[in-house]
Amino acid sequence: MSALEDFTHRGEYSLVICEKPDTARRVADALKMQKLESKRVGNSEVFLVERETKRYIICSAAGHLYTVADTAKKRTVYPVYDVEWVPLHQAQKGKSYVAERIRVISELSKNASKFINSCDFDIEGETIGYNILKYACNGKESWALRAKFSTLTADELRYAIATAKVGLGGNLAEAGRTRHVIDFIYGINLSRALQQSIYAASKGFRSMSIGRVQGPTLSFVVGREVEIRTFVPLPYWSIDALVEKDGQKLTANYEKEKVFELKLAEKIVDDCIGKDGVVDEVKRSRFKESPPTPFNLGDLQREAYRCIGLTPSQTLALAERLYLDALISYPRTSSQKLPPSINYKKILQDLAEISAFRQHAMLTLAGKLVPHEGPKDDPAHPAIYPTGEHPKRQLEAKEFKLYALIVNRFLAVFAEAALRERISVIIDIAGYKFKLNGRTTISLGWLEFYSDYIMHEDRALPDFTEGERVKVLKVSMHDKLEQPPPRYNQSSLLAKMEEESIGTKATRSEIIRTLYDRGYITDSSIMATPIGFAVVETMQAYSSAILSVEMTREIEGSLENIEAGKIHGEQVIEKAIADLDESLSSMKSSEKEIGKRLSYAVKTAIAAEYVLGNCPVCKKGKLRIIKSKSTGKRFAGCTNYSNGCRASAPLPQKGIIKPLKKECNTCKWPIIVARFGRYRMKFCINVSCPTKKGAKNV
Amino acid sequence: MSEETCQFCGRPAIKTSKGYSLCRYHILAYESLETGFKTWRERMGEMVWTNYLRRVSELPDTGEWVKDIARAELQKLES
Repeated sequence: MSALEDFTHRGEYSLVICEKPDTARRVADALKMQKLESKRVGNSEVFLVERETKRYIICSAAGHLYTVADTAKKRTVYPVYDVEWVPLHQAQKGKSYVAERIRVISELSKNASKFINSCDFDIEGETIGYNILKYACNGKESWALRAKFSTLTADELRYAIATAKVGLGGNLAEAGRTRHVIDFIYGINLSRALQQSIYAASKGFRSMSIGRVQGPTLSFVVGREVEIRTFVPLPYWSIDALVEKDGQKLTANYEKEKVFELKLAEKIVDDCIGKDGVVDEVKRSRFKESPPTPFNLGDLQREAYRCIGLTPSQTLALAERLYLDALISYPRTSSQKLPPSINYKKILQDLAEISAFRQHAMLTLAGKLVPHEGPKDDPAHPAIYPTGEHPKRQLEAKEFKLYALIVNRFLAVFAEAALRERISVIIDIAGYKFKLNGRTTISLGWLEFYSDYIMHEDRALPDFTEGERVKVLKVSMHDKLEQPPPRYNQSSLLAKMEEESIGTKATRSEIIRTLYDRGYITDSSIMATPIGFAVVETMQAYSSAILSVEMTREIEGSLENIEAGKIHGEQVIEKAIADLDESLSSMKSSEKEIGKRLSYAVKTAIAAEYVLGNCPVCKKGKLRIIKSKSTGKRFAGCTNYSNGCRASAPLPQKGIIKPLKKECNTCKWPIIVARFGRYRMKFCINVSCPTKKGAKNV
Repeated sequence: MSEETCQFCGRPAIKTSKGYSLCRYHILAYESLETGFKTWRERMGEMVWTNYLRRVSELPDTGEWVKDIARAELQKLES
């Protein structure tokens, strides 16, 4: 540590604490006046920078270095309300690098004259910085300076360090620490209650978890699943008329989209057959389609899912990489606003130097630079925007797609509204009104900038005049059935969480991920699994408050009040414990019953993995994967074997087999997917299926 | 926990007046099936319960639990 010791003994220095190593390098790069000097200390890289009369040592954490743990440390005991903050490596396996990082920061803090917290400016960053200053730097949390920045561009970082001041973070750290304590207390106690219940009923162990945000989120999925599984499609009819005008055939729809009586639908068709139509009304109306608003994290996650197919957690991870490369501003923001202080013109000029965006950036520069903002705001950060910095490395395909989406959205928000014209023609056929709708674009406006991500089909109509007779070629009715509500996908579930104000912008995608990891939900069109159902049913029976949006929302409101300085963290924790205690008592007194139910669900879930589909032979049993006791080979056999059903089929002996939950259209046997490494094969398991070449008829 | 279990899914159940042991989800499905029949009749005109059950149990968008009930009802009627 000699060069470092030399630096620390030569005079006063400020210790700059960053959240991640990449940020530390960016800060050091921004502050350096000469060649950047870095030193490897243990597993950390620290940067030594002299800038004019000031001297800095820049170090970094690696996310959270401290976490909440229970003081008793007995895994089977609950309730647990006595908690403490401890270094992460003491509470979690595989985090031994944390001890070394803490040691380095602690060592560097000893001779520091000033401390600058340069972690991300939000509730998590503030908590990370606060804990390091409090525990590793021996109680410097209340007089450390706070640097505030939204991008990692050199100018902004220099400004943030120069203007760092005490108290800039307000009460964010208290709110953050309170959130961590409450989430820990809820998570650990409820999860232990579930696990202990299983143990009490079956002496078995299964890792189960539920938390105050996981609970309501899982409940949304289960609720939707119940709607779908109890859905009865109801019939209705739609009617349309094929008309001809100037040799062009056009389909006009009956004014009521749905006709709810078969007799009425038939009567309308009968009355219209053989009749001509008369144009009753021609309406043209121009309307403006406003540009989109700047991205906040939720909007970006939804749009990236829709346009690029990225899951919300993938989007967040990629956006963070783009942020660390200083290509975009801080992504964990709720804001839909872009303040002029970000310097629109400079960003656009810089973007104009990137060939992929040159044309649109130049066009934007030529117009009025007023963004079309949304209503949501975030006191910590503006909406997500490109910094204009040029990528210093080759971006991966997905990274570039996300980056391009962010740039194009940024350009679109400065564009003019699109001007479009709606044309509606009402044709009277035998006293019934049929509608022809057309739409044309007068000026593209923002659509030109965002054309890769949005469909805007025009449908031009020929000129109709009121009173004109129209030839009707055909009138037809169509049998329709109402559709069940759609299953959530990751994007719509995230939107639901946002709408219900549960979780935070930073944690929502992680919560969804956890539900997948626990086996509570499955598939991209999200379905609740038997275990997911069992957890919700258990909670509904013994601790319904945990599933309620109100309870979670109330806690979120209290956390906001802590941020605003209206209440203290202890009050919120006390209230949360009181609420939780009631639920835990109820669960404790019914451990065996809960355990029975959960164990049954776990068994059902495991059994379900082996079921391939309904048996097409006896129509009573299910075809499931069976391992032959004599040969050890696997095959599909009917569960109704004991009643005489001998339906069976061979299966591949290697690879992973997954039922597709679909039947073969020809023979009605189940279709499966067999995965061999990267290769997938989809096929009907019936060897005698007529669709198979050379299949024998049995 | 009740001793009775749902004949379709094994969840805690109650014995209904129709002789089924149904959990709360399958009770919901039964209610949905009955309400659906009223609406189908109103919309289609004449329709008998058996035809309705057959039709509904074959539709791809009919809920899984509704199909369980519809098939059981059909079996009961056919036997």
